[in-house]
Amino acid sequence: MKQQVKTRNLKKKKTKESDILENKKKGLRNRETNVISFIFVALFLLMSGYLVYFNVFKASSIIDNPYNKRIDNLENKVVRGNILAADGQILATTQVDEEGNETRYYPFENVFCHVVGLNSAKTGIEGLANFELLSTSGNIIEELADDLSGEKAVGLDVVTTLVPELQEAAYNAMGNNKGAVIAIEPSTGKVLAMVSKPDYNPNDAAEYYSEWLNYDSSESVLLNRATQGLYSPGSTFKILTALEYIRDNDDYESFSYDCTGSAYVAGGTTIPCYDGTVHGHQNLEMAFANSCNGVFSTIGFKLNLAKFKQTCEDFLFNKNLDIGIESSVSSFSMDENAGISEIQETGIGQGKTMISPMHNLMIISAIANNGVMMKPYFIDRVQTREGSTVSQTEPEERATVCTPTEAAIISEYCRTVVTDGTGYAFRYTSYEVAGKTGTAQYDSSDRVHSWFVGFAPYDDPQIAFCVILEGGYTGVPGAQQIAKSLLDAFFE
Amino acid sequence: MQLIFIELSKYAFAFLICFYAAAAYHGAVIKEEKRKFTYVFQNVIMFMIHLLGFLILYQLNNEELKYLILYFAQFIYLFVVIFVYDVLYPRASRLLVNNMCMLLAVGFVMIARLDYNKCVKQFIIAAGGTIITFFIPWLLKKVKSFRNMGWLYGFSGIALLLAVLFCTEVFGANLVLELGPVSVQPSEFVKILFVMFVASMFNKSTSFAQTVKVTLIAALHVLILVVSKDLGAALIFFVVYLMMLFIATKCFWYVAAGLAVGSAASFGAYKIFNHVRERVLIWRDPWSTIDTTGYQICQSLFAIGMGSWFGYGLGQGLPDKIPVAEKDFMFSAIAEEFGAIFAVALLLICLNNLILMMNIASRCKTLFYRLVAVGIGVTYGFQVFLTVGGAMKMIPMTGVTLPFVSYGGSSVVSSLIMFALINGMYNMRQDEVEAKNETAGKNKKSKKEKNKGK
Repeated sequence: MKQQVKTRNLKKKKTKESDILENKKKGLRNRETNVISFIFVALFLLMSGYLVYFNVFKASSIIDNPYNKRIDNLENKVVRGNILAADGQILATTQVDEEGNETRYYPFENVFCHVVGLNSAKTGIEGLANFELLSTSGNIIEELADDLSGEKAVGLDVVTTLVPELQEAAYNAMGNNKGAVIAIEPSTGKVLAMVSKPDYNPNDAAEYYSEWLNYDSSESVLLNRATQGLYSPGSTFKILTALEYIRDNDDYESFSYDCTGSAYVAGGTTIPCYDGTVHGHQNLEMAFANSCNGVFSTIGFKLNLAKFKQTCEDFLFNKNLDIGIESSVSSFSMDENAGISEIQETGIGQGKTMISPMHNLMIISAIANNGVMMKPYFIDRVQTREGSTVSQTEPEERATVCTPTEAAIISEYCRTVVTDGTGYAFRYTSYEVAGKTGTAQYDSSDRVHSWFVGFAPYDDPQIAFCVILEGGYTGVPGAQQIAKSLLDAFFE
Repeated sequence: MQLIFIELSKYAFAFLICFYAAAAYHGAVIKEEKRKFTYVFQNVIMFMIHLLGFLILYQLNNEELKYLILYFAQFIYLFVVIFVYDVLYPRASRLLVNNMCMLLAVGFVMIARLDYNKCVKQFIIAAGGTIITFFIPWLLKKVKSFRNMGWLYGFSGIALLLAVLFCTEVFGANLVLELGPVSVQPSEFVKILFVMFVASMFNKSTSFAQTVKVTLIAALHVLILVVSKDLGAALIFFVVYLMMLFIATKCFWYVAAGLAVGSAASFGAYKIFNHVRERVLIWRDPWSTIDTTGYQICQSLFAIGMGSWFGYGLGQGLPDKIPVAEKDFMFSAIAEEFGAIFAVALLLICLNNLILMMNIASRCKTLFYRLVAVGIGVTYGFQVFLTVGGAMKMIPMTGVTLPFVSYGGSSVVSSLIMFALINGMYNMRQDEVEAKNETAGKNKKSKKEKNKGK
């Protein structure tokens, strides 16, 4: 400012040159340059403000990314924290020997292998919570003390939502079959158990990892089938077909159909009921309970196909599940231009539709939770080694996918599946189950994938589950029996 | 012990540069006679930061002697720059010289941390460039006909840009001209020619016809740059032209019309040019293409985010994970290892430079000089905005350097020329004052005016 005062003392130089500015209006003469200065002051303050805003609000979520190799750099300074089960049992820990060599150790070996993941590959929760496990409480004095003594700081512990009893029950029930079992709490989205088979012993990863990588996808032990596997949904998809029928037809309660064991549509194909069963006279509820293909392969012609596609996308088909760990996107492609046989096949969950077990569970879980789909989560809280909580996960609604009335109708249908239909395994259990069976053809052979999705207890759902047994399974009659082992453990 | 040293140095760096920035703003508002202490204070801080930086690098690199040798060479260089300006051009803005040296010193430390050999190269080019630019203030004062060579600046600028476009199209060169062993990035120098061109044309006349003529030539510059895919430079030229037009004509409506046309043109460019669309897509969502096109900006955000307030400590982060960190993403590398507080202080020093440039612009009595000062100031300020805003994903990335701090010979030499021009004007402005005072003694009429002025 003083410099400007000084300039006022300057006088116009006597000169003949025409390019000397005439500064007669003294008060105004610097106005234009001042305007530019102010613009830039504003721009720079905006930038500084943004940098501060970025650091306060955005940085923590951005840096927590498997592509952020900087986090691995923290391993030089911090001993990775533990991953704990909901009851505090250790699922993963780092052992340090006398020479300071660190080994990641997984006490449960194969049981939690996919969901806990591998530290070396940063999969599962090891990848999801990578930054937390390598973070310290942020106490500068403590850090300096560690620095002085030359000792590494200890990373934070991550307490998961996983329940070892359920996990072990599901793991054992699966035997040597391929497939996946997942259980969540419908009202919150807490993941209680997640098993995928075939599995591996994470403690052997150092030795065998490169060998595991070379397996075919059908044999891959590293693939988490629960979230990454994509299967035909089979009859479990009838949940959405039925829902769309209810939405499009107000008189759905008076629906009727006479099943002759198979259905032929002119210009399409003949689709038989499972095992050629003749269901006879069916209303919608019984057709759902009996999983009648005659009904569901023809019902598609009474649906608004554009709306049906929208409904499926509202239920997260063709969308990222966004659950924090690696997952595949389910696909649904039928629209109003579909051909006749495509409409037939899609209605019964065959055709081009593909779904991941986790997604199928999220759908049934939303039905159990009055139409509100919760976001599944694995990490309940982050705490220091001494046990004081650093951060706590709050349940989060992912989407409202249908009305409570619609959810109640589908729930009731799912209950009828167990009491009067194909869900016979739960007819005499002490707890009341609702669910939907599914058998999905995946090639020209007789072998089928066996599905069961459901929740229990029927009137107050505390657990929702999804079981898929890949074709060629042995030792069990189907997915229902594995779900039963899981629920027996849950209600024990 | 070494870790503790680095841990404490983080806080030292942040506090030192904050004090420096505070001194720079304090210095700008106090009388020039009282600034002696500010100057010395700034220089002491600068040398402390430079020394501390190289001590850490020396420690981290197994106490290799070459780091100490480079340090001493740079120490002497920085000392000589300050000394020479002080002796040859005592009326130049010492604050601007100090800021320039501070930015160079920070740049030297960071480039040496990324790649010792690049730092040596940068240092040699900077030293050579400085020696040449020592003559610029003297030339500016002696040669009055600079203001009359408008068409020469304009056409040589266009010719250079076309040469680059040709080489890029034909030889696939990336916006550089190969001249024997050296590769030059001409757009860095055309920036200056462009400013001189516009200043000299408007100095002649600001009539409507002249304005149209200049606007057409300016638009041609921008168009060639857009086609050459040098979007950052194109934006800089556009904004610089608007601001200079505003100063020359004092007409707000020209600027408004320019902005409207510019927005329409950018929308057109977005529709026509694939590379423009790609930049915008990366900006809006780099995460879905984190493996390919989004990789760089995501790494930059990781770097800034991991750095937090005080940074990882020099040599402790992974700034080399960001492709071409030493050029376009220097700001992210600094934010990672020195922290956000240091980075904000660095931004404030850049802003201080811009204010000093606008200050001399407002005091220039010749339209030509005023326009040159404004043009250079806006070029500098807007370039900082583009590179820093781009690194933070506040705006789309345009691939320009942070003047004096980023690695790159053309960038550092053109920045040196721009600052030397500004200092030349500081130098002359005060010559004018003396000339006036002399005449004032003889001329009663002007004495009266002087009193009125008070």
